[in-house]
Amino acid sequence: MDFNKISATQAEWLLGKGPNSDIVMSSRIRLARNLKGVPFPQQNSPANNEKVIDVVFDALKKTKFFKNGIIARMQDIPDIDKQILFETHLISKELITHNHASAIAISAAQDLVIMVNEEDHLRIQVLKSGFNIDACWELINKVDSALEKVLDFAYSPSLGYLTACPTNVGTGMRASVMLHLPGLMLMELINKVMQAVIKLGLAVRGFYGEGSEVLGNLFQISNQTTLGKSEKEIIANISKVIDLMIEHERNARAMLNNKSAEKIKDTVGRSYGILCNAHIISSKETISLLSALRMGMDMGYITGLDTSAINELFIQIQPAHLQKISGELLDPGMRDVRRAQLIRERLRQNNDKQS
Amino acid sequence: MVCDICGKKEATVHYTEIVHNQMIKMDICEDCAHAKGVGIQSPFSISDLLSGLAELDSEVSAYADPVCSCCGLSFKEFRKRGRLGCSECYETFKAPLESLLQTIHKNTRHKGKKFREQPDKNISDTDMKTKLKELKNELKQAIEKEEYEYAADLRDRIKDIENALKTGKK
Repeated sequence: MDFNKISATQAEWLLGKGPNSDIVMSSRIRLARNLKGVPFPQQNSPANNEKVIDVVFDALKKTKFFKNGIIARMQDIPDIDKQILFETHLISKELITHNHASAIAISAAQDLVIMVNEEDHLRIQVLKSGFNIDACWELINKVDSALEKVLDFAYSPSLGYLTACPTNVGTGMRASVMLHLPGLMLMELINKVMQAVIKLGLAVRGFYGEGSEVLGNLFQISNQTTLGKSEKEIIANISKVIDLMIEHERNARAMLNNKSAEKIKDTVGRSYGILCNAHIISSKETISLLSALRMGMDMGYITGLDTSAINELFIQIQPAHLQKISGELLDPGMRDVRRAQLIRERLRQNNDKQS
Repeated sequence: MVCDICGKKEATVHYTEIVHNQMIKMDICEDCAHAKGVGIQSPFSISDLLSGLAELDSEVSAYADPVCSCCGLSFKEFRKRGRLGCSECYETFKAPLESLLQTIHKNTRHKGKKFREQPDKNISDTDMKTKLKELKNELKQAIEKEEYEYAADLRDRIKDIENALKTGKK
């Protein structure tokens, strides 16, 4: 598999299937692991950072997880493809911007990614579509257990897995769920709900993770602490909260459907209309219109559109994807034109398929 | 709708962001949005929080600046960037880190997966029985503390071990 296929094939987490996928876009778990006796990447010498990559690559090749996938050093990846990986949520901004040697491994289904020498020596991640956090844990636990047979991880019986940032020490685990909550947003209940979530010890972020603003009514909920609870307890805790949020969002949608169906249908219809017919469109406008369109599909106002195609648009309307699809560098003005064109084509294809 | 900042021009930029775990909703005009610029999206960084926390801790400031003999990182440097240099740092800075970990996690002891833990089937019967006792004790405590989820987890593990003991004896 090469990088051209990353932008061309669908990532598992975008398929729009799995439990409660009308509200939960995706679930992910990541584990932070470090090699024993080797300084963390930021503090490590350049030569030793290279050695860490070699050691990890050897270990990865002994497992079956990356068969037909990609294993590569970041320095060997073209800039545009790095951006694509970032926009697809497979790698972090930090992996692109920091200046020590690092690498990635991506499974063929794009549901398993390992970043080497990001903040920690290994950041193992599993992504699944829908509310599927248990499946994420099952796979990532398997991967971790396979790797610990061949890699000596920095671990202390009292503090657990030792990580560069003390906020990750212990399980080294961050479990997060991406929710689409247009109903709660429209009912103006979102603030209340989020405050309750925060009080329960969970963190709330936007689509692009830490520090990012909320776009398209997409919220990322994750555990805040990693020490003092087992992985299963952390997952049970977050699952309980997500269950409640799903219920609240369903109630909000039902309420909207009862009280102001015409108004919602109007918003959805207008959004669909703009997406189908615009010739210049910014990514921000696109994301909020796509959010309205998805709500319309999930509430049964619009039928015949393919959820995975719409999910994919959330990703493909970003700058690097547009440029990769166009095969040339585009200035922001040109991107707005190409973006509109891409959306029109995709929605038309989708309609043709139906008729 | 008028701008939340200047109160004059029409608000055309609407955004919601989360700063320090607070949701903020604003409607502002384009000029004010532009003037606010980076400020609007300035990310809330965990290392800022960390260095803030460590700084606040009077216990910490009483320390001279210790340096990790393994990787050369000083505690001052750690406070600045919020990242440790190596796994040995956890030993070197043990005392000041303990209060930091307590603040962040409300806990200082790992309870999750154990590195290279042998699956239960490789443990001898006596080991299993000791483990069983431990778990049963823990279960009692969990119920007293009303930690029902954890209790349920413990109960499952106890069942697993009891079953393993039974099948082993056959």
